[in-house]
Amino acid sequence: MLNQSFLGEYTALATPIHQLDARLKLIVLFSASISIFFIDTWFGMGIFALFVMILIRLAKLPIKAVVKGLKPVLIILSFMFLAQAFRVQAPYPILASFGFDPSGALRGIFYVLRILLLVALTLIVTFSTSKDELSSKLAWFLAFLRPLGVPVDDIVMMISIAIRFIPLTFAEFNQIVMAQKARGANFETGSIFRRLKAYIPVFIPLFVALFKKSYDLADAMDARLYQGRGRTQMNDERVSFAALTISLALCLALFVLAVVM
Amino acid sequence: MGLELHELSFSYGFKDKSAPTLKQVNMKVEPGKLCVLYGQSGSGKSTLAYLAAGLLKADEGSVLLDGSPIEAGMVGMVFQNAEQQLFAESVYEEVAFGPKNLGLHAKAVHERVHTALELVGLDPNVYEERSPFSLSGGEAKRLAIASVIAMDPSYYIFDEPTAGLDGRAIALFLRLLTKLLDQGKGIILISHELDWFLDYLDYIYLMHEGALSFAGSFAELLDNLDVCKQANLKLPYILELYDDLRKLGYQVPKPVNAESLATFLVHLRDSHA
Repeated sequence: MLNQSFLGEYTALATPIHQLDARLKLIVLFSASISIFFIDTWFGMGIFALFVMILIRLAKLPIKAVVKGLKPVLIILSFMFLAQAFRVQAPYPILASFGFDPSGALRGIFYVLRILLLVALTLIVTFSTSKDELSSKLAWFLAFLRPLGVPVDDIVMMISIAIRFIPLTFAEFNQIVMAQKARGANFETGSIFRRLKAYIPVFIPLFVALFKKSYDLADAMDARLYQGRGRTQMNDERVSFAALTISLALCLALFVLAVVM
Repeated sequence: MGLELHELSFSYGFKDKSAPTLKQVNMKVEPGKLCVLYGQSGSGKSTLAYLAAGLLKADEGSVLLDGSPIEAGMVGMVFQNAEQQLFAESVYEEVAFGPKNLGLHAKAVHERVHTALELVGLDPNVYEERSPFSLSGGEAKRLAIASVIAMDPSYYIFDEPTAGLDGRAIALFLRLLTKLLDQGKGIILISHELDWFLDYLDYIYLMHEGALSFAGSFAELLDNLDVCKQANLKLPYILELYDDLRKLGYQVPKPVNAESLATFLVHLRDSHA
């Protein structure tokens, strides 16, 4: 089975982070993503790490989920660390002038920590916000493009549908793989080219089915008079004053942290 | 001899607890016999089929084919939306996919393609050059079945084979089923519509929430119709009529089928006249 939970899976809980408007979460995430790159002291990074840990606790995000979510970036981070910790003309040579640099290693740990905290923050947002909510709130962020003639509502609808189709596509893919295996197809052995070729009987029906589904969906939406603009919202789109104040205060605190540290 | 499922337990390991999980399922299909796996949608029937076909590995238990552990490709599995798994440029190539994977010689592949197409009622002279994507829904389903028949397995699993078919296509499928049984093939048929298969089935397994709630012959099911209701299954019309007549105190003779019930009702009418 393919991994369907890259960058976290949404889990419905009744925590303050879950209840916070998705737009505010995205604004705080955006502010934090910028601030963290301006922090260059261990003390500042410590405060930032404390901030992330408080949010993890508030969102009731299980540590297991954090570890699972961080796994995909560990390889890149390992390279990032090694690139900093080892260099030519190093204080502790291993091979000729190439060797270990303790100050580079410390710097590497600092950079790795920065990315880990950023990924952890993203996990908090994806864990506490459904994909539907995220995509629907995208319209609010892109609203300024409407006067320029950009079909914002159509774009958001497309993104929302595409996100919803991801698990269905995975399920369809797995089903076709099993069906072709039942007809003797072999995906596990042979050279890389042979294995790639073996997937032709999977991808052709998959694309045919996806195109058919998308045509059917478009027809079904047409039949229900979908026209993009002018659709009403089911949920109250207003943000509470308290939530707005706390979020803006957080953004300000992150800004101050970035400037001071 | 036979396809045997011993104490099979399986879980997808999803967070979603509504995903079907199988609990210690035992089942056996013998050559030339038709077993119907009956149950509601989501009861775990398809998952059991994937395990029986060696396409999924069980957490516990084993699947044996004539005494040997099962592997993918040993049992002919026809998926519920088999017509959506067609990919080749021509009908011929589609049916030849399986036999070629078995490493058969060109002549043997050719023979198998023709035999399989004829068996499902698609004339090779008319269809073999056509694109699978130009076929009607019913024809595409028959082509998908032919592509499995061409592998000549000893056992078949059909997952909801009548779904989306019209009466004529179902009649054709039932004829095919008879031919396969006459050839000595063992068949597991998954369905939530029992009506079509009452005259053919040898054994029935009733699935409810991932476990078997009944296993027995059709005659044994007649004495235990309440198990269907406990599993929230709607009885086939014939069995519903049989059950109603029985509850009214009538002794309905066996075997129970459309013909015998019609004869019984005519007798009943004549005796009251």
